[in-house]
Amino acid sequence: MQGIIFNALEEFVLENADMATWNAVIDKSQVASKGVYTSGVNYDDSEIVSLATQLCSELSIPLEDGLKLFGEFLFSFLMNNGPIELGQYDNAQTLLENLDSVVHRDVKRLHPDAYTPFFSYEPVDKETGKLTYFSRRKLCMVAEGLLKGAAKHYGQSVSLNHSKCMHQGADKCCWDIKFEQLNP
Amino acid sequence: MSDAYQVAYEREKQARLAAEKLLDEKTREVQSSIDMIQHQFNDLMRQKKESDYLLAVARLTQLNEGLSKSVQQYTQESMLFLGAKFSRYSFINEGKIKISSTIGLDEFLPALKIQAYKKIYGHHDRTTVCIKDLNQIELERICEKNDVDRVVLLPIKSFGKVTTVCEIYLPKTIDFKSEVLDQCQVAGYQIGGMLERNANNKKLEDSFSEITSSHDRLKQAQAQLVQSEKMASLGQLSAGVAHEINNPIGFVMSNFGTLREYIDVMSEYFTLSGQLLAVSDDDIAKKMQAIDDEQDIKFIFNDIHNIMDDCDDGLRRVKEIVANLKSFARGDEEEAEDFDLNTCIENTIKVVWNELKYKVTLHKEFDETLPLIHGHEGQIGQVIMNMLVNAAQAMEQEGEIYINTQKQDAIIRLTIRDTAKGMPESVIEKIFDPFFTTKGVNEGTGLGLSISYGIIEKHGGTIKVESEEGVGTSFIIELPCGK
Ligand code: HEM
Ligand SMILES: Nc1ncnc2c1ncn2[C@@H]1O[C@H](COP(=O)(O)OP(=O)(O)OP(=O)(O)O)[C@@H](O)[C@H]1O
Ligand SMILES: [Mg+2]
Repeated sequence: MQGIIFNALEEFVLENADMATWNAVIDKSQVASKGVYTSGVNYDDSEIVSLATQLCSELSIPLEDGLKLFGEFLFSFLMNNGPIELGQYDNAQTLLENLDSVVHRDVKRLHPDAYTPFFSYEPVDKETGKLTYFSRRKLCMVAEGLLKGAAKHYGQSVSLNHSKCMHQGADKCCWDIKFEQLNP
Repeated sequence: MSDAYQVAYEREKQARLAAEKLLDEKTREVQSSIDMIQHQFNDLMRQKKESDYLLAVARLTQLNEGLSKSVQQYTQESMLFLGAKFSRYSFINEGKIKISSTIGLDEFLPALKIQAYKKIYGHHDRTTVCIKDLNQIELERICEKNDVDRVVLLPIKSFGKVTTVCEIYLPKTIDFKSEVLDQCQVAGYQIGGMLERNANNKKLEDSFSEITSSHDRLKQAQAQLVQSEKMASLGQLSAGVAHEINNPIGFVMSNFGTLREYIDVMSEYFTLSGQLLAVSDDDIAKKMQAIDDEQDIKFIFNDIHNIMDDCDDGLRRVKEIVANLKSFARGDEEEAEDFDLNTCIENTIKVVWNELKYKVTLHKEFDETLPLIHGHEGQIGQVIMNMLVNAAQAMEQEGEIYINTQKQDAIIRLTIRDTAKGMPESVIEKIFDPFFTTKGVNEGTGLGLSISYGIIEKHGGTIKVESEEGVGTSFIIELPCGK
């Protein structure tokens, strides 16, 4: 997992709690990196899981909710601090359609040791579509948060129906998605 | 609280160090990528240079501009490709340098000792020789002046033999892999291949033109055969006719002599009886006197003499024509013999006079001192006859024919000039071709001149033609004198 994601998590904690909480989370989760995260460096996947789990118990919220919230936060964080410029999309659907072939591919190009997930979005009509997700990390909750973040970014509302989930034994996660343009 | 930030600060410091390390690594990576790209770029440039060079040479072989131009351009291209200062190419034949040309140097470059080339004939491959090893002082001086220290010798081979050697003089500063020279060698093979192809093409063309000319000769021989066949049957016919006419003419002529004697007797007899009538009173005598007064017996006898003379003339001419017919009928089977050209012309004119007399005024300018010609009188007559007939046929109205004979050294020149319509260039080109005619289907066979050409050639002579449209035509025949 890329350092930038850990940076985002730290930012997320500072925004919603404080530095002491973050220090405690690092301390208690006993991660190998001791909480030193540099954007552009790759860290073991297990660290983010440990940190997230620790964080949620510290804040006494369910892990799933925490991941969702983080995902939502992560989208704007990546938009602002991420290594990739993306200006040419004007709604979340088009971003989704180009996620694998453009956005994450660029991530992979900049950081060849990054592991990016598999996404495919098939539009049904202008507003609705089917999204498939696969990753060895099974971070579908983060994905849901990211989708919310994306919708918010483009002034859209999003409704998600998580029809299949890897955590329920499916080999992939699937969503029926509907984005609606909100009036400004 | 400040403790918390102290911890965070420590982490941040570590993270920054890691970031700097990462930056270093990335910088190194970028640097080595740049190196690699530079390397690949150089490689590409070299490949481009190579392919430009090979392309230029391939284009040369396609253009096919002949030996020396191609070799010169090949040398020039190779010189540019190798980055040389100057060069020279030499054509080699039977171990000797035939022609040498220097490119890119103003002063005279002494020839290499043949031993340097010998190396190349040996293994037929490019070699690089150090100038110092050549032991040629003047050459060394020039090379030193131009900062040159070695020369690449590139052979061009065709049909397995070295025919050309290109010398490329390289400056000390130039350095390249030996594959580069392999390229030059390959290009040299291409040039050699082109030369081989050229030679083969030339051979092909030669044998083609040989076939064409022997085909032409065959056609001519065939035409001649047809004509001689024609002449042979014409000959038989005229021989028959001549024989048939000869007999009656013979006895007409002998009877004619007797007739002349009888008339002489009768003339004398009538003169005397005239005198007798003048002094007689007899009735019959009176009647006879009346006939004499009316018809003028004396005039009749005079006229009979004139008529007899004319008939005599006519008969003699018939005899002569028959004799000519006979000589004409004798064809190729005749042995060659010495004959007088002027006489031959005279005889021919007699034969064709009927064709000419209404249109043509003949002018004969004979050299009376002509030596004899050795050959076939009948055939030469045939040539002259065809020319006279051609000239007459080319006359739209009346015209002149000048027949001139002349001796010049061992050559007898016969010129037949007419004032007929002449010929355009396009016709002149073809008149000696068998079957070429501008006349109607039943008027001309187009064989006359082609056969004439053959006959004159067989006599060791030549025919030339000069013609101007609207002015006239001259045929000039030159024959060697007989021994
Ligand atoms: C709707 C939009 C997006 C979705 C649904 C999405 C989804 C995800 C998910 C689920 C992950 C977690 C890794 C995994 O599942 O294995 C991830 C990783 C990541 N994404 Fe996205 N993403 C989105 C947009 C973006 C954008 C806009 C950027 C960059 C500007 C970005 C950059 C990254 C990076 C750098 C990672 C980390 C990869 C690694 O750690 O190896 N993503 N993304
Ligand atoms: N004196 C001339 N003036 C103009 N044209 C001539 C003259 N002599 C020959 N030619 C041209 O050359 C052609 C070839 O002459 P050639 O004697 O070979 O054949 P021909 O006269 O046409 O036929 P043939 O001789 O069988 O009667 C003639 O058809 C005529 O066009
Ligand atoms: Mg003729």
